[in-house]
Amino acid sequence: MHSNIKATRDMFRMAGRTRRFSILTLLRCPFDALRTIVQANFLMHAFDAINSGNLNELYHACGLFGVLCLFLFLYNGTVWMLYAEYVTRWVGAIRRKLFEHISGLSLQQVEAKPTGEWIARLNSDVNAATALLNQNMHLPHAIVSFVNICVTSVILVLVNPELFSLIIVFVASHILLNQLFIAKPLMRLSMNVQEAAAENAAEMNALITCADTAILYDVQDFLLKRFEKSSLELRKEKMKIQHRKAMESGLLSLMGMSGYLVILLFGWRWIKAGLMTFGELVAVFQYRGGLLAGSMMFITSLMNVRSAQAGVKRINETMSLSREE
Amino acid sequence: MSIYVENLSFAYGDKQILREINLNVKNGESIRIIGVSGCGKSTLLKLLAGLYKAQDGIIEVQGERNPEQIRRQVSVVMQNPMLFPASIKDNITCGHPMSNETIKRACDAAQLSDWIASLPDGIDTYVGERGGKVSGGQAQRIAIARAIAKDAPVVLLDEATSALDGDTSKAVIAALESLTKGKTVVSVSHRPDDLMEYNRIYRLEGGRLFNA
Repeated sequence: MHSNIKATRDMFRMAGRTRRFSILTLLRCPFDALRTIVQANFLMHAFDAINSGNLNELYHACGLFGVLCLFLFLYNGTVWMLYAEYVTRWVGAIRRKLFEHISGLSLQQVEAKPTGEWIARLNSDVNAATALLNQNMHLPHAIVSFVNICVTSVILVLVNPELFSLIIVFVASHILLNQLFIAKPLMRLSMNVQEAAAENAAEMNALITCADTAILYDVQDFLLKRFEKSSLELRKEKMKIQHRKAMESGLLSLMGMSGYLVILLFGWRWIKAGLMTFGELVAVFQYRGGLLAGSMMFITSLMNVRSAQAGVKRINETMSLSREE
Repeated sequence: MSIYVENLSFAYGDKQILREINLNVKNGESIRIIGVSGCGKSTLLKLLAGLYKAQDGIIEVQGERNPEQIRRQVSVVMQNPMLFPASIKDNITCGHPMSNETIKRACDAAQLSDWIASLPDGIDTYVGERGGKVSGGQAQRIAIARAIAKDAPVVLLDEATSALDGDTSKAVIAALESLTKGKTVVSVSHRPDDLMEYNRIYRLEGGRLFNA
């Protein structure tokens, strides 16, 4: 864990513009938590208004909800636009610095690795590493979802501590199982994929660079078979990642649905006992949704960050190769 | 006649490289073609190897005119040979079925056996495509062993002795002598040298071939 953080920090330092990244992430942080609060409060007030037959209060809740949603949409859109611009420049900076560094290596160092390995370092390693910031769920999502989890947890504790305890049992066990059986192996599998991709690129490259020798010595079939073998190896490693992701999907359904049913049962009892209104139960479900969505986002982001570590480590390894003076 | 070339001309687009080349090489003869860089030596060698198709004129190697058939009759050794990202053994056999005896003979003749014996994985040692894991001399001797194992009647050498230094030249020359023994040899180089003996020497200039 510590080495992953250090590797990520080293890569950010190498790319530069870390202050801008911190500011943009901080600006992005409140969005998910605010959205959860707005939605939960809207549902609570709307259902209470429906229950009490108060049409004015319902109009008021709907109007306020519309204005706040518009504000959140504009705020979030502006921050993400700035963030997208930042990421484009950040990826470009990493690629440029890596290229500059590799071009400054001695011929002996360059020749020590197959061409495919260098192609992989310039392409698939950069793609894997920059997924830290430019795939669907990435590092800032992990930070944003963490803030969302904290805020919704505090609200849930204030609203109903018993329900919060129930929710947290399911969420915590989900995160634990996910870390043990999915996130941890993913890091190793991603590293295997990068290595298999490099080998595959080397085999593919041989078809071009050794074309004259291959034609003269009738080696095309042999090279094709080797390329096919390395392609299969690469696919096998990628399939292992897909298996883990399928496991993650199954775990999500299992834990999500069982938690939902337990809260529904307890909520029904409390409403019957007059300890809770239907609007409050809906709001609790909304907060639970926020907590779960935050947790899922956090888990997925962590998994993606772990996968990206394979690329980050290989980029740092390339950048640590001493250049010719 | 092992190699027969008549009025051979070749151009890359508008740039004429070879003009009306005529050449006859008998079985077992060795010839050397010298010329400055870019004069078309390597192009001529690629045509003789069946890697390029003649645009004008005739190329006949061991009685074959079809480039695909010509390729079966020749072995080529280059100055900087490309090795496949595979084991030494695969680089010699090129994936073709070959007896251990044939492989051993090729390694002995190419002066590789002692070096291979010193490697932990022996002949199964992995080598990179540009010889990154082996020295230039070793990579060249692997390429020579590959050519010996093919046992083609015609051997084409492209600057094969141009970059030899003191330490590796003896071994490479010995390997080349084993490869070319009793074969028809065409060697091209940018400078004359006395490392190997030839029956005739030609000079390629302005796309035309002259006696040197």
